[in-house]
Amino acid sequence: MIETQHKEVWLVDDDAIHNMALEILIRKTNKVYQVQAFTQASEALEHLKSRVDSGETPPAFLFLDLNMNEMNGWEFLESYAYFPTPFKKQINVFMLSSSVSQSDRNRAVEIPDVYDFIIKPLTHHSLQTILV
Amino acid sequence: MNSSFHVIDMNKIAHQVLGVSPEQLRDKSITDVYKIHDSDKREVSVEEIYQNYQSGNGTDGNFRFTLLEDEYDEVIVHLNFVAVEKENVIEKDAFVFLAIKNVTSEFESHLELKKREEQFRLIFENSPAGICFYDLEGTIIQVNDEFSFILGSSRERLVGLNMIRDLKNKEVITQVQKSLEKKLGFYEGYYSSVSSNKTTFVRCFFNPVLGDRNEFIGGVCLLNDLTEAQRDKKRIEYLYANLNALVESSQDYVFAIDRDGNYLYFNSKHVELFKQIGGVESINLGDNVFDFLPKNEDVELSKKRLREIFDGKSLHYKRSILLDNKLRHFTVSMNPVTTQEDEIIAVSIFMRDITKEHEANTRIKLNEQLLNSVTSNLTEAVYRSSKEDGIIYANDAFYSMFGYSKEEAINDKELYLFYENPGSRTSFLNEIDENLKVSNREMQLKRKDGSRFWALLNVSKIRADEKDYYDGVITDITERKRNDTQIKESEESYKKLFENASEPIYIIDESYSFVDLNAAACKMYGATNAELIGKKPPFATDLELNNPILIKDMLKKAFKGVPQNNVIYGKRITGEIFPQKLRLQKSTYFGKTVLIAFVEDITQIKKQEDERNRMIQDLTRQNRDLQHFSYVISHDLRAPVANILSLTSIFEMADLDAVTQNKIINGLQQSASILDKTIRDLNEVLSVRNDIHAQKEFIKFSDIMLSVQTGLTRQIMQSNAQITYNFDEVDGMFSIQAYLNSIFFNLVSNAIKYRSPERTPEIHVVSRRKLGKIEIEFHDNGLGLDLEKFSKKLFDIYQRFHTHVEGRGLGLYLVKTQVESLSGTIEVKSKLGLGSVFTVIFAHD
Repeated sequence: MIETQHKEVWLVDDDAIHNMALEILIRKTNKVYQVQAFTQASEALEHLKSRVDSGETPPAFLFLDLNMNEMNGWEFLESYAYFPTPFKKQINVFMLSSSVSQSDRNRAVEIPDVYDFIIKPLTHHSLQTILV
Repeated sequence: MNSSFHVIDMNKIAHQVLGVSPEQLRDKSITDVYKIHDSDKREVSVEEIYQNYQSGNGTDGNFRFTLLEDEYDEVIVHLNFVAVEKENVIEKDAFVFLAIKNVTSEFESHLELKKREEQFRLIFENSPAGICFYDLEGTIIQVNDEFSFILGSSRERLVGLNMIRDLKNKEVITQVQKSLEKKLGFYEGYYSSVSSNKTTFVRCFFNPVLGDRNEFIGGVCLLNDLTEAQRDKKRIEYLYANLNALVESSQDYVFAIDRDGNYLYFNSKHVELFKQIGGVESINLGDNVFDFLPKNEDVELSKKRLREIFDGKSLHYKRSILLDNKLRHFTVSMNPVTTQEDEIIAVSIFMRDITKEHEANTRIKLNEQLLNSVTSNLTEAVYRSSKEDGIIYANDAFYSMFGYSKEEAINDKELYLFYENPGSRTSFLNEIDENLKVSNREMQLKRKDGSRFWALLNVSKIRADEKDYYDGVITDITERKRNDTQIKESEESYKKLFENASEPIYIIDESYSFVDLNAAACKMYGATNAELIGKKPPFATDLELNNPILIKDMLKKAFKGVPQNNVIYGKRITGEIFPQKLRLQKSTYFGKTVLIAFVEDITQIKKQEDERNRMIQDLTRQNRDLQHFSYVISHDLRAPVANILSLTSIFEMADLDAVTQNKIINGLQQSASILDKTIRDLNEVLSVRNDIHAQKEFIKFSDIMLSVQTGLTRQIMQSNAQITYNFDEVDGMFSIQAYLNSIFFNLVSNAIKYRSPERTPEIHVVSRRKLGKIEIEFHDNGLGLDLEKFSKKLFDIYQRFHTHVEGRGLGLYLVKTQVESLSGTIEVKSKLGLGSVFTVIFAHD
């Protein structure tokens, strides 16, 4: 079980519909979370960086889509790897993908910064278990 | 000096004085007729008288001569001696001239005196000896012609000369003085005349001269020129010395013995021999040879032989003597030694050691036997011939080879029988004369029956005994020649095989130059045999095709005997490069080390192979593309589906406010719409892949540009884009109309879509022909791309780099798919903020 001291969830996905649906689902878990969606991965990285610089608490959960234009999920993680470890320890990164490719899953679980790999759609039930 | 005092001659007065006729006295000694008493009545011999006279001890010179026959017939005479030389007789010395004067009678007539003087003058003038009278002081009073001749001086210069005072030769002076002391003087030796400087070898007697009344009045010199005689004597001495040296140095054993076997002569070799065989220590003249003979020698036989020689025979025989355990062989010659009067006085014996000759002869005999046995067993004909005598020697094989009998062969002095024609012999001999030797000459020779055969001749010219010989060995090579012909035939058939082989074959030597090429090889290179021989096999010089180091290495290895098998690129005369499979095999060709190259022109195979490789590459790429495509599609198809699933699950939940419900419905609508678009795109992409085999036609680029501009009229108007193109270099190609249209449309439309807001869009399309390919460049001055960031994904499906404008990220993906379907490639050059150049490259139609 993941302990949640912070009530912030970030969504990084260029699919706005998905962000909207996920936001509704998170709200329906009746847990007080603040949801922020980014349609560009680079934008999300910028915000994370400013959190490191300001010393603000990072989001407790980060749902990262794999297939994105401009910067995809893998590329995001390449940059994210250079973030300070104590900072990253506060973030639970979940990779999301609509692809059912097993090779993507295998690749994702190899990355230490990734907590889990989830194939879309993320259901209400699984969100209940993730967001404690 | 005649010691017997025989009377040789006497003059009349002597006759009268002595009272006997010359006939009565001739050849008799005076003492045979007379008893002589001196003044002291002592009986004396003429010899004594002479000796006393010579020594000067004589009495008064008066002697009583008494006839032995009648002791009362006696006469008292005065004797005077004058030594006179007998002409040319040197050894027998002088005889004594006895001047006899009858003093019995007191009578002495003046006339008689005159006569005597006259006789004396005659003797004096005609004497063969030079005579000179001198007075008591030694002054010359008178000389005869001979005297002045011997001394080479005139009578005038000689007369008046004082010999004691004027002569230089002390010995002569001494002898003259002797005569002036009433003694006899004598000189023999070289004498140089004071007045003429002539040097003569002389013999002189200087005698005192008494006057009529026995008074001492001076001296007389009798002079003989012995120069000639001296020369003869010297010659004899020389000859004797030479003879002795000759005999001494001779290898022969020489000795001479008299009738009894006493040594008269022997050389030192003879002594050595007798020391060896008889243990003789030394031999002296006069020793008897029979004392020295070995015990086993048949002395009687030796003596018998000696007697036979003295009977006038000569003997020649051979003797073998065991010396130092070795048998030595001698020839012995025994010859009589005779005097001028044919009297046999001795036997000369010559022994010659012929052991070596004997051994050599034995060896020669052995060698001859050996030679005979060797040559008679040979199958090769062996002969010796000369230009003059023809065949001198030949073995049995020679006669059987030619079919001639020995007699027939030997009678053919010119040896023409054996040669094809006389000329061939002459030229062959000339060649041998020139080189002294001719080896391994193949020649056709003639048998007696007229048949010809091939022979191998080895002939040497040899000089022996001042004559030239030709020693030869002839081998019948008919059989070998036949084999050669067979080899030649098989070579020819191989040559035919080589010539007619459909596979190109060529031969190169160690300088890597063509030695021969078959027709197929010539055809392959597109040149004639004559054009290629001597040249090196033409290879492509393009480093990408051939590595020259590898080719050299390959040739080297092949020459080392390691067969090589490689694919390289050859070059035809036209310059066309073609791939060939080259098999190199070391071999020999007319004695030369060569490589035989079997070539396979694999232009066609290579083409097919290249095609296959290209197809494999295409397929691999397509497969990769398809994998990517399916991945993207699975994602992009699933993404809206996942959203729909998610949204519907929310919709089923309770407590949804109206706003949320609206959002969800909108979301569902959008998702369904995306799904639809994606499926349409999918269809479009797949249709490209299915159209690969559509009919190709010639399409002009300028036509396409027109249709593209028409299709994009609205966008061009809105953006005010300036579109130009230049297809001067190449305007069109065989291709698929729909694809080429789509490629041009997408690239031009992208150029407008991603234009820079800061400037009027300028788009320029240009075609080029480059490296046998067609290149079409699309230049724009738009936004440009950060290629470092995006180059990998630029042509991937659903990739978008500029989010501010509408786009599904399918255009470039489609362009790439279509270009690749047309076996082309697409490249991009771009700089962010400056513009981009997309280049489409098609292989030549």
